[in-house]
Amino acid sequence: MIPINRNMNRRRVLRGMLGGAAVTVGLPFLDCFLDTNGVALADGQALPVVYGTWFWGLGLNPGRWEPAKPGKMEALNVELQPLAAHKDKMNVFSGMKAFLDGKPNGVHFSGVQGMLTGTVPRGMTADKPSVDTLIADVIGTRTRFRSLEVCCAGNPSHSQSRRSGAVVNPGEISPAALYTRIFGPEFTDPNAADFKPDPAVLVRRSALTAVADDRQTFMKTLGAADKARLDEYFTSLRGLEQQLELQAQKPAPLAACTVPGKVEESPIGTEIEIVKKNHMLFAGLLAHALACGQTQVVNVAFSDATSSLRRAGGTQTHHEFSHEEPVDAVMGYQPTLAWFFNEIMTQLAFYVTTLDSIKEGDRTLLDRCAIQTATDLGYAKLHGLENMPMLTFGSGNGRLKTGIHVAAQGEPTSRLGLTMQQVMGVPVSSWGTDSMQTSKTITEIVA
Amino acid sequence: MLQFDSRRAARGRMLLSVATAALLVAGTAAAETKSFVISYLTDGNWSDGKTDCPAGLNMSAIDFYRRDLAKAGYKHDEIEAALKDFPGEGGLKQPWVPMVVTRGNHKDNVYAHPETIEDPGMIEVTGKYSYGFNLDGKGAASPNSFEEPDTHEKGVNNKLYKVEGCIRSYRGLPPPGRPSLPENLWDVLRDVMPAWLITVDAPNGFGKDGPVTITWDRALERITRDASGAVAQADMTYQVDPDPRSHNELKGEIKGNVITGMAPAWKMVLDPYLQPDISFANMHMRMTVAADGSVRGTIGGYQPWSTIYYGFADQGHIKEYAGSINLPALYYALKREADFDPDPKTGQNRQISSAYQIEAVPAFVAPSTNRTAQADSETKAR
Amino acid sequence: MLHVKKALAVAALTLTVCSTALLAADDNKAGGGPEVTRRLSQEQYRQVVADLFGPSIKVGGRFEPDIRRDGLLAMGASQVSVTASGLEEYDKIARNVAAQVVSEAHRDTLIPCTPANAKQPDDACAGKFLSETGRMLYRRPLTQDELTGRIKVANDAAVGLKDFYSGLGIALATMLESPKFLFRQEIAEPDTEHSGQYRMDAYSKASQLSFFLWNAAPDPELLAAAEKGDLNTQSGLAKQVDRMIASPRVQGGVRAFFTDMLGFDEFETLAKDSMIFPKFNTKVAKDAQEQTLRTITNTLLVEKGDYRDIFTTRETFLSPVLASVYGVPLVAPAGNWAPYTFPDGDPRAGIVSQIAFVALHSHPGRSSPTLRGKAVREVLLCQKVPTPPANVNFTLVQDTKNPQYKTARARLHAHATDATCAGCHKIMDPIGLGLEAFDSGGSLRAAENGETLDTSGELDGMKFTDAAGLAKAVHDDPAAPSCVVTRAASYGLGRLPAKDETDWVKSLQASFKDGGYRFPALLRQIATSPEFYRVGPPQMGALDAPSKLASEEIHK
Repeated sequence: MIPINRNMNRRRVLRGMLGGAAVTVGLPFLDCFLDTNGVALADGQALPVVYGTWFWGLGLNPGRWEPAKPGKMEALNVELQPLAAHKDKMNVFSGMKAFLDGKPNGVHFSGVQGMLTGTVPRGMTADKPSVDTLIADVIGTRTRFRSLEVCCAGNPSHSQSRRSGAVVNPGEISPAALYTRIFGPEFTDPNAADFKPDPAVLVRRSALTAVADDRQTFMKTLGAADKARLDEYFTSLRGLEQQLELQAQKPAPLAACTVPGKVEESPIGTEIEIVKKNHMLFAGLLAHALACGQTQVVNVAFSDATSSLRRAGGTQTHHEFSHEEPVDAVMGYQPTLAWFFNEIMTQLAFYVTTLDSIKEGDRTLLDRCAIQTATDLGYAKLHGLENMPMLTFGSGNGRLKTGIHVAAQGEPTSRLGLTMQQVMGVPVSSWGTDSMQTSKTITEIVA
Repeated sequence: MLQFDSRRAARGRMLLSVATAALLVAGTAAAETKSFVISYLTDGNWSDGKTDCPAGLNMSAIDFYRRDLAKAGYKHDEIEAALKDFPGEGGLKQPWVPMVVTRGNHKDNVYAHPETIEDPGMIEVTGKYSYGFNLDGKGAASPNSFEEPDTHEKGVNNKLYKVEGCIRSYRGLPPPGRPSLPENLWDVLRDVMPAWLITVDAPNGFGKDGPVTITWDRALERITRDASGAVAQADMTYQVDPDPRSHNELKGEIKGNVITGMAPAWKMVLDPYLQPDISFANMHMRMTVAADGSVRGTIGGYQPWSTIYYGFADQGHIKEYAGSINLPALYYALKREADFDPDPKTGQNRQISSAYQIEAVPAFVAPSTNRTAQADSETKAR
Repeated sequence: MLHVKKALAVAALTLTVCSTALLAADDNKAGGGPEVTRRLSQEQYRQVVADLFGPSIKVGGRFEPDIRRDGLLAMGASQVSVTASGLEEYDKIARNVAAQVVSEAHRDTLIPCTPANAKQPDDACAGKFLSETGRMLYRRPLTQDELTGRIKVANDAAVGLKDFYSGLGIALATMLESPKFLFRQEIAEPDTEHSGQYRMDAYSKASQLSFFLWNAAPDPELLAAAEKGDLNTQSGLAKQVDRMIASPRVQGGVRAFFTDMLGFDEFETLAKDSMIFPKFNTKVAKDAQEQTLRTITNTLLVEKGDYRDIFTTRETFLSPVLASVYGVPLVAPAGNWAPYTFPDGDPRAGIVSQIAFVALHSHPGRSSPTLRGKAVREVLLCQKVPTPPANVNFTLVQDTKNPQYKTARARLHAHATDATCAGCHKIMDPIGLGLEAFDSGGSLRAAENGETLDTSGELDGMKFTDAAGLAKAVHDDPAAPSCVVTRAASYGLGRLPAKDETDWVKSLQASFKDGGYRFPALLRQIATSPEFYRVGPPQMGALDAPSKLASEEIHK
């Protein structure tokens, strides 16, 4: 990366630029967009890697999702059947668990925290960043959005993505709003024939320096805990500055990028048909966003961990069924639960199919993705944290082998988060705390 | 039909209206009053998709325009050019409009003067069943009468249904058939027009068979839709519009959960979006009250067919092409099928038997706080 | 305290601008709790814009969600930061508001001067606007550096956009997304009345007071009083407090407090099955909150009544859709609100039986005695219910379609009889069962699935047979008034009272009781207490804590 002249005062440069000079005067700031972590975007070679998470609540019915044998998968078990078409591009991980180490089991919480942050918190407050933010800090720093979060069941707090402890990165709940955010007036089509930088964009970029200065003076009077919160504010501010920098620059053309049709407002809620409809709209929008280079990290929360999904006219939610529905004496599992899981897995399949349907050269968008699923429990009825189902989709530009079942009985779920970070280029050899701490990469899937 | 009881799962909720709460003690024959607000109103057109129109359905507007324009002497090329972008809404020119408007004699508006064109012909209902009532008292002997599909009463007089029941957009298809045109119009209308109220006074209470008085009124307020969006919200309060034009009192009876009533004359102001009002002679009504208090039923009677015709024709070609209702054909058919109230000079019947389906939900009815002395005295005089 | 030790370690290695005597001070001994830096809530943001720029300025966009800590969003405000998508939104909102302020329609009323040339910068006019507006936005006068910096932003932007007003708008927008606007800081200064202790500086006091009583930023009169030093005298402070409590704006503050305490933010994501509860539409959800808030403000502020009466009063206010859910006739003027009194003996007495309570604490498809009982304990009585054990054996709770179990009472039978369940459930279920006459949508019912309901229950030994009886039990429970006192103090402080503030809280509770539980008096007492403005010593971190992000290096 060409070193940046730290003494350059942006506002001084700005005057010169907008006095009629070419946009390229500002290049020293923009050189870092020549991607050295992967590929130069400009000449259309291998496109950047994508990371994503896809979260659903309440796990699956034990015994009905684990493939028969470890190694290359011949077939999928019944609850993963909706994903059959993607068998060769996915991996299944069975047997892994969350270790409480004597801490209380924060139901619908401890398990997912262990899986996504590597740490099972002591109480019901998370205090570690989630794996997607760690990866976004490496691969997400050169795109308009460092990451995109969506929540399909109508509540932005269902998101499992968090940078620091107290709060999550809120997810979009309205596909129409997401459309406007990504493809609305501030979208720059990479394939557009002409590109005119909007002078207001550079003005805004420069003006934000004053906000950064504010943060610095503000920090001086804060205690350490509050300082950490303002650190996150600063990261967010950098993200905003970056968006503007990118908007000022002509993006490299992307053959697979097409702008989707405008998405209209749709109902939002926890009734499962509504959640499915919104999920499908989100899937399309995210796929287009990825194909158009708007982000490289996407996080989907199908519902909250407790899964308030319900059927119209039904008195009970998915969650209530998980506890109250008896295990059927003949079938050996909870049938209504199986119905909900089937709906959820079918939606997951739709998501993967959507990514797989965007052709990029002789491959597809899915091929450069590494999507990691997450859930909160291994056995919802008893809030069990054993044998938590985990899946990955895509090979991440060839970094992962696929089509494999890894049976890792009794291992911590953090192994997958560690492995994903490593293949994404996060310099980490060990991740997690207490018994969730691991340095054992899942080598079976690393290419 | 837009809504069915199956949409409302059994609620098992007891309705307590303020006036009756203190009176609902088992075993007494205390008087009770219940009020309802109309949630749904549509032409009582029965269909099973098969037996009502064995001769087929009336053709679509583009087809009958082709036919009528040809008959009016236009050349084939002229007609095709005019109908090229049919119907051509949204700013596009509509070259066919002036042609069809005067397709009778190339001069007069055919909707205002339907007799300037020869009767194009209407395929009418020849099936067995219809909603409605035995208005002429002749029973099964009444020519072209029907059998009521639910009660199996014979001799139902509903010539309006006979006339319009094989028009595509007016056919009352069973689910999953799409709603008919009048249903769609009603669905838009009910959000903007003052609501219709029914009050039933049962001197012996609703638990016992006996005589009742039924009152129809218009409200000052519009309905509010409930969370499903399809039905009016139950238990809303409506103020009675003191306008006497929409005040009706009927004598009736309650048997089980079925309430019936009759009145020699009955009128409710509606809206030109459908038709300006419904004015019945020899009005009959029957409604069934479900356990959750909601109501389904039928109202019927003879009404002036000119009101019905002009309910369509006042919008000229618009309802004609939107609903594929050939208006001159409708005019001739109504005129021909009219079965009541002959003009003393010409002998032409001026009224036609008809029926409508209604659904209603429980409501509270309150006297209007906007009463004027004049309205009060007019009500009293009636 | 950990953060103090860390700050001490850092401070020891660096140059500080503060006297070394302060390094030895320990937070707790100095009095006052830990500092809280609170992010503005959505409502507060909107209120500031409305107060400063008038109600015709629209605030559009999506705000970051607030979080609840220890029962209040006001306490969660000190835990939240600003995420990337959150700042993206703040930026959009800020630019949108600023664009409206400088627009032709508004500039004449909102900008106090005219530039010499509208196509060019004008530092004098920009400075006047930014100085006055900045003072209100940052809730204190700008420092010279701050003002100079922002004038420069306006200048550069005006040059770049060739328009004074656009440039000014950009500068204003950067203030609206600055942490100095979005976060409320508590600046400490030595307390001249109590040597060795610290208090909030005058401007921090003004904010503390204003957000507490009005849920708004300090108005010009309050800021002026702060500037003059009036807030540092007991009489000066009392004068402002009395002015603010007498103002109609205190209604907004009281409503904001109860909206927080009663958890009304959950309404945003409340779902009711429209087939089972067709009456419960979004207007009902909105009006239900309004009904409860009107009931409370009428009792506490208009009638200046006993706080506990909010649990038993049958006087309330209804809108037409609420009346339909309650199943009562109501003629309201122009379809709006009308006072309504439920008859004597009606189970609908007080806020616990109102839709905003019973419908909020239910499942989408059915009622929940457990959720309602838990809410009474946690929301109204400030009593914590332990979290359920993770390894509950739910096979005990049988099939809900079992014809044997028609009512919730029957279905929850296991809660009462199984030893592992009963321990916690007996502190919730018997309360909630008293509310079973209200279904999940809030409507009154006498039976469930055909079986007549038994609505008897008990609250800590006080037995009752219906919801009105439960209302009386809550009314008579001393935990109820104690709870609202603790909540009010916590709400104002933005944190739980610290250990050495316990005596203060106890004295508030005693005065509340002795004075007949009058809420305005409680507000006054809190707002005039020195404890309300006490803080620990100022933080000594002259250097920022080292950041992990390399990008910060680039920025410098």
